Amino acid sequence: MKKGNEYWVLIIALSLGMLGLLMVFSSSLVMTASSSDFGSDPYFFVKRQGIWFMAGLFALMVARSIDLEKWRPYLSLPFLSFNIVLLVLVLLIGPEINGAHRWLVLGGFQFQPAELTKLAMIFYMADFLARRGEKVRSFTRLLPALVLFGLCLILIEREPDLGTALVVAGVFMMMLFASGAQVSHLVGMSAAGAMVVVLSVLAKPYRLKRITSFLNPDADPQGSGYHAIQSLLAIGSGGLTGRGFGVGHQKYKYLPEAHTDYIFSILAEELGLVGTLCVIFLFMALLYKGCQIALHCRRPYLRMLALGVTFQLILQALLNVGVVTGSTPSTGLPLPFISYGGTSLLFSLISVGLLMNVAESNVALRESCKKPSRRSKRQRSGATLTSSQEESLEAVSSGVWEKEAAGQRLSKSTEKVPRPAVEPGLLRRSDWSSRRRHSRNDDRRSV
Amino acid sequence: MKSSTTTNRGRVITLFWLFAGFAGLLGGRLIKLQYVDHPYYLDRADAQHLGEAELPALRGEIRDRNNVVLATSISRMSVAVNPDQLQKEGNVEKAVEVLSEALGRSKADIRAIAKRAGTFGWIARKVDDHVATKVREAAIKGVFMLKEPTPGKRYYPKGRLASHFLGTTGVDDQGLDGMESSYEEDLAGKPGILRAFMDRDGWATLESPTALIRPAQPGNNVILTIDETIQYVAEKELAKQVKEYHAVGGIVVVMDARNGEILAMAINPDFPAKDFGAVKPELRRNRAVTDPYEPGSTFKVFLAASALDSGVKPSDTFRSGGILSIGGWTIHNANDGLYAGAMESLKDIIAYSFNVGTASVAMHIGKKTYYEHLLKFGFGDKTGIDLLGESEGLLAPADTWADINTATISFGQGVAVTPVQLVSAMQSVANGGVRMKPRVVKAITDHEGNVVKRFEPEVLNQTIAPKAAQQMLDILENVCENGTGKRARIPGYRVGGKTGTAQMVENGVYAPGDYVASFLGVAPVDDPRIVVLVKIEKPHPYWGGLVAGPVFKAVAEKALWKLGVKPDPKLLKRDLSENGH
Repeated sequence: MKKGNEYWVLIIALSLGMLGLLMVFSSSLVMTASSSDFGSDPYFFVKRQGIWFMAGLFALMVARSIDLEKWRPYLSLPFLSFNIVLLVLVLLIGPEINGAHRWLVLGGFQFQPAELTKLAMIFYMADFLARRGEKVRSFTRLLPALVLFGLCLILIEREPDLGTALVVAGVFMMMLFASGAQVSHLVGMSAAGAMVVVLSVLAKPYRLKRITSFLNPDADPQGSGYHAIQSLLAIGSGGLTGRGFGVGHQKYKYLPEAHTDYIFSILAEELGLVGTLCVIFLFMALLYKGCQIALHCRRPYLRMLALGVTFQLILQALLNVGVVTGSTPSTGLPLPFISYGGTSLLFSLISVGLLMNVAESNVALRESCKKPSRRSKRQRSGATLTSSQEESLEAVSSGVWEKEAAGQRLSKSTEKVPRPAVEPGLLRRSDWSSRRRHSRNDDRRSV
Repeated sequence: MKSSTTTNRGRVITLFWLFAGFAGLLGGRLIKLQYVDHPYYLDRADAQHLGEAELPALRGEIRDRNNVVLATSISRMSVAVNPDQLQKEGNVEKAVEVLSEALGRSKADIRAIAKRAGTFGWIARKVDDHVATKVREAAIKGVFMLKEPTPGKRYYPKGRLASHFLGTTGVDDQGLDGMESSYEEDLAGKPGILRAFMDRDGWATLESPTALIRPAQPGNNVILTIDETIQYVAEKELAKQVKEYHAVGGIVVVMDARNGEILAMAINPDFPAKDFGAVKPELRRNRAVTDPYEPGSTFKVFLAASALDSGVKPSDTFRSGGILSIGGWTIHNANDGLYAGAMESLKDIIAYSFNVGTASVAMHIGKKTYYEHLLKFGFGDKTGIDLLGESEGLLAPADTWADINTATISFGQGVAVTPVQLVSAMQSVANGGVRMKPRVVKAITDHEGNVVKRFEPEVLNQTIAPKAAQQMLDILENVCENGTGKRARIPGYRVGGKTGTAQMVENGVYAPGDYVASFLGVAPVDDPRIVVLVKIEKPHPYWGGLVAGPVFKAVAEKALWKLGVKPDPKLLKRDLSENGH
């Protein structure tokens, strides 16, 4: 197990964030410097993004250092409920901006509850799935989560913010899949979801237009296809090494939303293929490190949490790149870390903080277990960290916690079947089929 | 029972690879867009971004007949490079060295511009002269200079001089009034064209342009017929007299008697040329061409000329005394202390400006003959002078005239003419009856001083026979020798002219106490060189000979000196001794 994973994700996030600040500056300066709306200040957006970046780093530190297990009860159902209240509020009192109710305004401070939903849903699902354990294979056991999830989706769709709804749904499905839900259930849900998406697309003409303009942007180059064409022109004209930082042409009022949803196009124009592939690589590296951290983690809750935030960031990033390269229909999603937008940046950095938190808890656990006798035992058993000593060591605290958190029904099952709160580590890759057998045996033995 | 843990791990890895696959597809898409299809998208993007930006041209100058600058625009040299040429000639480093030293800019900056593709890149715009000299002296192939105007900055170095006449320019350096407007096509020049990146609204972006398609062509200079010295004297003398006689304003027009060139056109009150836009419209009009007025007695010149041309001799006598009754109206002579005998010669009628006599002459030659002559003199029609807003004056057709109209028009009432019309008509008298087209522009030259277009004198028509013209000049000389125009005499020269004192028409009625004092003269009468009109509005006292005569004298004297017309020594001696008494 690698000790430095948490620093790797921090380095990746900081790299993306700094690149984002540069690109926000470059892509917005033409608009801001030439408009009195922004006080003709070329630094208008980069200043604000910088402040959010600082706030985000502070939030990252907090997310990294809190005791997630301690906060688990508050961060699951109560957090999601609170978020649902906000989602209802935004529909009722949120001001209309560009035909959508996405923002809550508190004393000049704008905030998107839908961004919070991504995180709240991940927290809730991590807790839910960790408690359900293998019972996620039962559809009825999934129902409570499905109901809440459906409620959130409907609320977000009403804003309307289909992009965020899609990301929330995608992460939801991936977490279910990763936790071992039956593929048939997932297929069924996906089919139902697809139906809903189709219906909602048909219900809103502008969404249908997005689809048709995705299929053929040249049909209406000055209208619905304008965004897609301008984005492709920006990306394509960048070439291998780009026009150079700051000297792109598409930001001169050709490409709308150059500093938010379409910032990747400006990046592509100015930094070229080298720049775009670097960004893709950084996100892939984040995905790899995120999965690694999750797979190293032997606590189901933290593991699901790590997977959730990783999937969420990567899914959104890839969808955004897909949109701007004309590979997927337009969804209106920002590119995490890079697009201008305070809420998005804040939650992206909090996600990274959570990943670091999980990574460090892995290390802490390893440190506490680092005794020669144990290592020899582990090697003998051929499994990773699954010795009964460790289980008993962890099970005491975790068992108590689970009783408190999950109520009577679960505590009963705990009495009957003392389930290990610490599951076998998953990342030993060499000869994993034989070890899997071992670990499975270990599991059975412990059960 | 299948363990969730193993499923879990495998599924995470599955998701990882799904993501990686998606990312791979996007990467492939980016390679397609940015590498394979890059030329296509670059072409399309260039077609969208590249446009033609204008490089403003330097506006031409307005100069007087001796090339004294009256209106000019400030320009500065800008330094640009042709990167392609620099690279081809291997001059990049040399250029970087010289330019960074001359301009005090970092070598990296200049190198970046010199090394990029394209045929044009700005290095520095509107540099100081000594910097421009340094760069020019280095003479590097691929480094060049462009003359750039400072837009909206038009300078009139002579201050108030000819301010009505010159007009003004707008913020975009376009002519708005006066000469600036009437010769806009020549003055404006052709803007250069740069191929440059434009924003969506069509404005050139901060990025430097990539190619110089056409350099800006500076506007041509307009060389006026105006003589700065004569103009200055005319303005000064006019202003002096206006002030001394508490008048509200005045006009002096000086014309070359041989070819119709306007040598000076002074309007009072005046103002600094740069303040043109801030001045009230009625004050900034060039009233010498735009505002007709009742000429009064100066108009008698053309009655006399018509009569002489119709066979009347200067010595023929006409009824001049007492009162003339025509159609129930009575005409009497002005109450100016000169008393007419019952019959006076044409010569004396003009010399002493007898209204009754003038009317008698008009009745004698008849309205048809008179009217035809007035038309030949150009009254009632534009002279065709190349100035904006010329008025044609007011001359009713003869068939609408009653006898009383014939009579009053003969002494300048019931007719309205512009100062330029008067001067032009007088010019024909001074030029043997040949009327020349009045002109204010002598030539158009390009920015290097080569003549592009020369305006040659243009004959309009023969107004009266040469003999009649000579007789008329003699009569006019007599006015100055013996009649109302004594104050207009210039020592050493033979001058002729006619005074005028007309009641001003205001709001359709004669305004009591408001007069126009004027003098229309020729000098020297033996070989006329200049025709001068002096018109002073509402002076107190108001007699034309008294108020306008001295202005004529001062202006004509200096104009003759300037034109190199030498005084006759005998006359000079006589005149000076007379003055000594």
